[in-house]
Amino acid sequence: MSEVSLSLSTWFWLIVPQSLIIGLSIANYFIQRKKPLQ
Amino acid sequence: MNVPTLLAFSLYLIMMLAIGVFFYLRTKNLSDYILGGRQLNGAVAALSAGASDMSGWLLLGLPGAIYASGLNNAWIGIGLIIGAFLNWQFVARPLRVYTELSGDSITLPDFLENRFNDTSHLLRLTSASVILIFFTIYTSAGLVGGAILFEKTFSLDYNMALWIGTIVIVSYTFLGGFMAVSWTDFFQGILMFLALMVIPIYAMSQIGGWEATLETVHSINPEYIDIFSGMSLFSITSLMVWGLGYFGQPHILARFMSVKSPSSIPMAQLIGMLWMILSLTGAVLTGLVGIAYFSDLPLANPETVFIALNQAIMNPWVGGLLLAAILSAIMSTVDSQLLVSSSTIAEDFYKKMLHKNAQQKHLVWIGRASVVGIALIAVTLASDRESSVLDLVAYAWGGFGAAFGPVIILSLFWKRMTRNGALSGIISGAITVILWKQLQGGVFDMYEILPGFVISSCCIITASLLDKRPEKAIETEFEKAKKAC
Repeated sequence: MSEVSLSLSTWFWLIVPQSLIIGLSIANYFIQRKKPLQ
Repeated sequence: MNVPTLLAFSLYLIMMLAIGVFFYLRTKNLSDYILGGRQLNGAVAALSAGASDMSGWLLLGLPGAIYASGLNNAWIGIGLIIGAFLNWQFVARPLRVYTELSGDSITLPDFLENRFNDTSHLLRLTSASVILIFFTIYTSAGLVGGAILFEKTFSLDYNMALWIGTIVIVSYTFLGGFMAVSWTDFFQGILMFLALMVIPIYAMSQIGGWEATLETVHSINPEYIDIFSGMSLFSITSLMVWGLGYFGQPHILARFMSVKSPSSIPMAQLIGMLWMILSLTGAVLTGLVGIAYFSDLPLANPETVFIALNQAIMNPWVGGLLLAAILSAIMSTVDSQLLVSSSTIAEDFYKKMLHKNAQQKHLVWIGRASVVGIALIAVTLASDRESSVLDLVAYAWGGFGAAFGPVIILSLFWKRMTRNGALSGIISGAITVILWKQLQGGVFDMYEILPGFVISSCCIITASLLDKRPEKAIETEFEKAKKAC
């Protein structure tokens, strides 16, 4: 069985910033939804 | 050319035209034509901003770069994702609110003039001229890209392909204006997304899954699967600062200004970011899977990796439709730039300078005539595919980002900013980008948007502080906008 895989730092940069941005966008959606309409 | 591919392509083009006719019947005034009367649905704004931003780069350029040298090209995508997120998070809502509050501004030059109460029209003229010149060239480059694609895929004559593409784009933009452009961009965005999901996943399943793909790529060159391979902090920064460009792209900012309500922006942001992240991931995977799939017979032109995979694994009907995704990517950028240029002529030059009391119906037709006029100039430039003027496109993303980015951000967040500050920011940003690009070696290998952005910001701050304080009315309007956000 092959042992080839992406390095940890490659995985980190391919996954973490993007996941963080999706998480922040979801949080922003719920925070803004509670604000009164302008 | 095979019949299913041709039919799938034709069906797609007819749908674009139908959208144009649909919105033609609903366009009543210039605001409708160039900003959709600020009635754009959040999801449509999100996908159309994404689609019009990406151009052919998403389906040809990025997969090609990954195919040619591996994952180290993913940095530019990461930079773009961060830039787009910051733009949605910090610029979209204030821009939407402020542009409406400040004289119901419908173009960026319009907003800058109203924001700084510039009765000399200097700010409007400078910014409108920059937009007009660069977008005409940008549009022309998009047409060249589309025509080359048609020429290669269908063995059509270059000029014939150029005219077919132009006539379709101009027809729906001419008829339906902003709404037609945004809705066609929306469907084009969906098509691009589907293509970038289906092709790499299906190709990977044929190779034997993720691990088998990775193993093959690794056996060809282990560095292909290392994101840091051959990269230094300098080169990573130079790629990631592409994200700064978002703050100054007039065709993307127009989507923010057109959203129906500021309260729909957070949902639009979420949809837009999901679309972008998944599409870019699909593009990176397409390049990576392409390395494994064509390991025995590498492609002569890396940028054709998406097309080659499509032809190799898809049946002609689905393949024809997915191929239309490339055309979508190109069309969605060209139509948006064409419309921003025409709105600059109709609103910023004609209405504000030449015919202040022009009737709305009259202005809409000026806008339509401008679409045709600019398209004709763009086609003329594009008819010579080697035209040196097309090299100027290289300046466009960085130029807009550096010239308008700091001006837009500071005008939304800094009360003390003045008209002279804005003017010096636009001019210094544009000049820095042009000069920096001429120089090479050492620090000059940094992508020019970064020095342009920094110098423009410094010039705005210095010139504003040296200037006298803005009028009371300007400060009051600023406070009002801030409160409304």
